[in-house]
Amino acid sequence: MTIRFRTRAHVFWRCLFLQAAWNRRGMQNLGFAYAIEPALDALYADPARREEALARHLGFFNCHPYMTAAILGGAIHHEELVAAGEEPGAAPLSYKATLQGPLAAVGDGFFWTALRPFFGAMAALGALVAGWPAVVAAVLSYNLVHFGLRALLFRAGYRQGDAVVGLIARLALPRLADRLRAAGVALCGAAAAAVALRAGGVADGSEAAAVLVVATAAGAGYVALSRGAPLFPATYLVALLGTIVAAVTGWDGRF
Amino acid sequence: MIPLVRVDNRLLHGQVLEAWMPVLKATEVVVADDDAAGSPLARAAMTLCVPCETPARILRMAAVDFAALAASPAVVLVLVRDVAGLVEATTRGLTPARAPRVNLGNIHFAMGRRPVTPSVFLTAEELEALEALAAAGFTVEAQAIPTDPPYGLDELKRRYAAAR
Amino acid sequence: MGYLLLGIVAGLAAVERKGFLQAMLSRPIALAPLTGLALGDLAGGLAVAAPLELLWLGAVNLGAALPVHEALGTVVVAGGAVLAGQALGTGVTPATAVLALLAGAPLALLGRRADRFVEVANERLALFAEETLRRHHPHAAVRLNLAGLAMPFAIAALLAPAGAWVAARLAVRLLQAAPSLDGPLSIGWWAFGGLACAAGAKALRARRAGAIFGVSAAVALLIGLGLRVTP
Repeated sequence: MTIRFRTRAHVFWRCLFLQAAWNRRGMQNLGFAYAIEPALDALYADPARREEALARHLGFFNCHPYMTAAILGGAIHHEELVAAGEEPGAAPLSYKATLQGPLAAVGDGFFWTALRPFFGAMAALGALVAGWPAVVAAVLSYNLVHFGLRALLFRAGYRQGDAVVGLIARLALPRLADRLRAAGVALCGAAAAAVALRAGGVADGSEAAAVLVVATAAGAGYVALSRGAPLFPATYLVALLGTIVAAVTGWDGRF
Repeated sequence: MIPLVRVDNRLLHGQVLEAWMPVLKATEVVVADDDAAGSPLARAAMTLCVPCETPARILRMAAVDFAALAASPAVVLVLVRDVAGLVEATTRGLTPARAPRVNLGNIHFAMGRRPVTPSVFLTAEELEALEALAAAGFTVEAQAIPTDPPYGLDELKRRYAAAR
Repeated sequence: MGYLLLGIVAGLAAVERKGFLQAMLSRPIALAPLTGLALGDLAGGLAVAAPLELLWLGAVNLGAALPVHEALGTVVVAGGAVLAGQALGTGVTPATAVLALLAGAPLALLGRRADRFVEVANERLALFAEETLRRHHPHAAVRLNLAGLAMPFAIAALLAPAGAWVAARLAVRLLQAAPSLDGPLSIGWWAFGGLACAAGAKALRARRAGAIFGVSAAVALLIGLGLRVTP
């Protein structure tokens, strides 16, 4: 018994709501059960078996929302085998339990702390030098990668089951993440220069001074933050210090 | 040396790699868990998320030599799955002298468990076992990530009693 | 009308941020221009987008750890700046932007508290779903998942317009009372922009980040000065 493409597409759509009811106890449990429900409906004609299957997917679950596509695909793969009587009902659960931690780490390390901030920094730099079209382009590029990988992982999980781990390993996401982080930092540096030039470009006759203020804020700010200075107080301190220094010296930084 | 033994249902994951390893300046991870060591899927999955420069070993509990880890110059973070795994480790050579700090990271909810921190749910038996470990000289604290406040065993007992 | 749209934008952003999709649309870089657009000033929203994105580049939801509510903060700061600019007739200026930032940023912290509250409320939702399943209503049980979207929407939709109103009023009052502060406050905004870039570089946690940040900034500055490009 295999599941139709339409049903799988329905599951994929529902997977986008994975964290709708995120809670401390079961975390994404309700979201996972919600997502997999169409597949269980298709596999188990007997209501009692269907409820039993749904109940097992209401247990604790937490993973990266994008990487969960692979686990959801694999869970359906295993549920097909359970429905066919080839595997015990515990098989999809042990698949989920085994993969959720490691794939969460891969997803957090790649998507949340590398790919998205990289495109965020790129969009920010784009906004500073080229305006809104650059922002649109960066967000679209991010989502091309994001949805491409999300769909690929879901398909691979469904088709390959356990072997999806090999595919994820071949993607070498941690190595790619390192490069994206370094590139993201470079973009932040360029953004700092763009902010300085903008400040300098608008300040009447005090261009060098405005550039100096921005450069000092960026440099000293970086040193302070990497020594553990908290972000919120630093924000207020820098904005107010900049204002006070300008008030004392008479610099002006209007647009 | 073993700066920390962590109890975490999820074993090796983002909080461990991204938050604890840098703070502890750990150079190596040892996962002491029979289920994980016995499952090719678990081994493959766990090595996925480890940066190439960090050696990670996934061993059966019986194969972990705590004395050697404690004596080695490498800074080793040891992970066990649950309190039962922690207790088993103490019967296999884990002593306060070799690893003084025990950290409760993530112990998920299940029937019969009570919340003592947002990420740790304990049973009465586990709380007793942890008290025995503390009496033996371990420092037991619940702390999900290093920037969270640590909760000592007395606080955990108080919270357990207050929880339903 | 503007406040209503602001509430809807903030509510949708709060939903997109965690419960549904997560396609970067609730990140400051996209959300600030959208907020501006909702209030009829795309350029004004865009003017604050880049520094806010970089300031909160590290605001990510790792495991069970909650970041500040960067989406709520963004709508309040961008909305406050645009509304202040409209009230003063100047459009968004560096001075209105920095005042909106200083007045509105705490909403990002308040939003995190609200997120914790939502997590506890959702626990009841999950329990209710288990109960509903036991009563043999599987469809109704899992549909409760979608009910979890309501509270984040409502909280952001209420807090954002209120926060933006306060931020805009403070900015307008201050700039009307002390117009001479306009110039110095502008420098305060640019200084904040520098810090935001540093916060972004730091949040990426790359190896040798400090060196890359410094070298890249210096090279870009020299290129920019050389070309006399002052975008």
